[in-house]
Amino acid sequence: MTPNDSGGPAVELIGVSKQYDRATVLDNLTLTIPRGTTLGLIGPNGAGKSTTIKILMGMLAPTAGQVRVLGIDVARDPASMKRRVGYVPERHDIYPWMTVGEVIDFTRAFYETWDESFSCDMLGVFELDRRKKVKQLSKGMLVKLGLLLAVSHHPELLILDEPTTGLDPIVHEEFLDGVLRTICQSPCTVLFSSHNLGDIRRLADSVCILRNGKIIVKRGLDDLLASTKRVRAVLADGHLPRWEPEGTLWQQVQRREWLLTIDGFSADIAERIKAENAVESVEVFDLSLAEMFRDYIKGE
Amino acid sequence: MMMQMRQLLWKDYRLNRGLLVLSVVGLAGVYVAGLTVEFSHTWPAIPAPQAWADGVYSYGHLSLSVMPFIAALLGGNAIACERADRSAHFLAYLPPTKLRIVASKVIVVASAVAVFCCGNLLLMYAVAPRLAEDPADFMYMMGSPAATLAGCLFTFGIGWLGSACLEKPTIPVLAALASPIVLAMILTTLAALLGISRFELVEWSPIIGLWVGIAAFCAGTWCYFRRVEP
Repeated sequence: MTPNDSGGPAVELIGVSKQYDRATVLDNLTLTIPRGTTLGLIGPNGAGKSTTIKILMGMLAPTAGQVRVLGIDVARDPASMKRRVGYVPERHDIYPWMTVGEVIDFTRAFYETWDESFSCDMLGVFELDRRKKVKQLSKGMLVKLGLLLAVSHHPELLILDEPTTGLDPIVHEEFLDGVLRTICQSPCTVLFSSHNLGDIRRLADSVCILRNGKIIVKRGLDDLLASTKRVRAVLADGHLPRWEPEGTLWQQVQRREWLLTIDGFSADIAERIKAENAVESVEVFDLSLAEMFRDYIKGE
Repeated sequence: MMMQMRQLLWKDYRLNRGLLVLSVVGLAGVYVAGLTVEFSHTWPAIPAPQAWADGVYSYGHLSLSVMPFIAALLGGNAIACERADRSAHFLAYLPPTKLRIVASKVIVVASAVAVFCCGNLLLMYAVAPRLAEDPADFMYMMGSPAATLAGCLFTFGIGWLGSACLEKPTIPVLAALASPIVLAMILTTLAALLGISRFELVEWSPIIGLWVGIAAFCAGTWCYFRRVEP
């Protein structure tokens, strides 16, 4: 532990931008992840999730802005940061000629905090054969090996970049169990980027939705689910909506049916919809994370 | 820290193992081919000790002159080979510093070149004189061992520079292999333009090659340190 890293957030991105030629991938992104929390990073393809993670890992240099991970300036001292962070990428590029045992021995050398017994436990749980070459491993096995390498040194921050893409349901479940086992074993901050909103729902305390390199929402997951509602109003014959509530993310009128997704919903809003519009009935529904995500993206 | 270096050295040795085996076969092949020719002259009789001594010394010299090409292969392969199979991505999110990564690569290549050179020099200057006094050198035109060493540094530096800048090792290796010919052509042209004699050119070319190699190595290392991997 260095003196400057205790107590501060696990991740701090301040005004981070990334441009490739003329394309802006990240646009003045500011994001803080408090220690001990799990943040689900979601967004459509090309939203900037992987770029954000690569910048955090020091594998891409931002065009502008500051990046601090566990209190360490990533640009200045990437090695110190990497010693305390575990990273599971979407694509595993582990030396194909090494055996599983060789990869573990190779990786272990770089971490003073490597927990051999935990590593052996994970090896057993994941049914990985130390003698098998990496190039002979299936995608599922490779992902499990990647997780083992990322967590066996008990990282303070675990970064998962769409790790479950393309996994069969059994390996998928084993992977998530492995992540949960890690979090239980030694509480750490987790940044989890995924298209699988079920995984986010299961693991994350809070979510951050990215679109076109900008954060469109960052909130506690329970708070977000509790305060974002779908409203279905039936309009009186021949009438159109007159008053649109504040916090409307998305809306659609089809014949007499008026559908709205509202952020920051309260009972007062339902009453006001009735009062201000010519509606016959108003119904309020809970949204799944997937529906909410879709409405946030469509509404932008 | 020692464990980290040991693992990096092991990894770089394994990455270059195929080339190292190829190099040993190539270097030993020069002796085998040369001595087979000597043998064929006296067949079915065994060559005289003087012929053995001359053969070991001369083919040692020839084998030594192959060293710059081995250095070219190792230099061109050093960094880009990990980018080609994307394992540089894996290494990039592990904690070792770039300084250690580079140090490990240089140590492996330098050790291999040193071992191969020493093996040849041992055969030339320790074994051959024991077989017969004053062994003759048929390969005197190949240049001195010092010039060969300068050639190694030159081709290694060119290969290293290419390897540090590119994604695949093919072009750096080919460029490094061709670089002695290119340098010779440039120097010959310059010598002709400046009116320098061939004798002077031969004297100066190892020194020029040495400095170009060192400059290329430094430039390659600078590129590697500046570049955000992968």
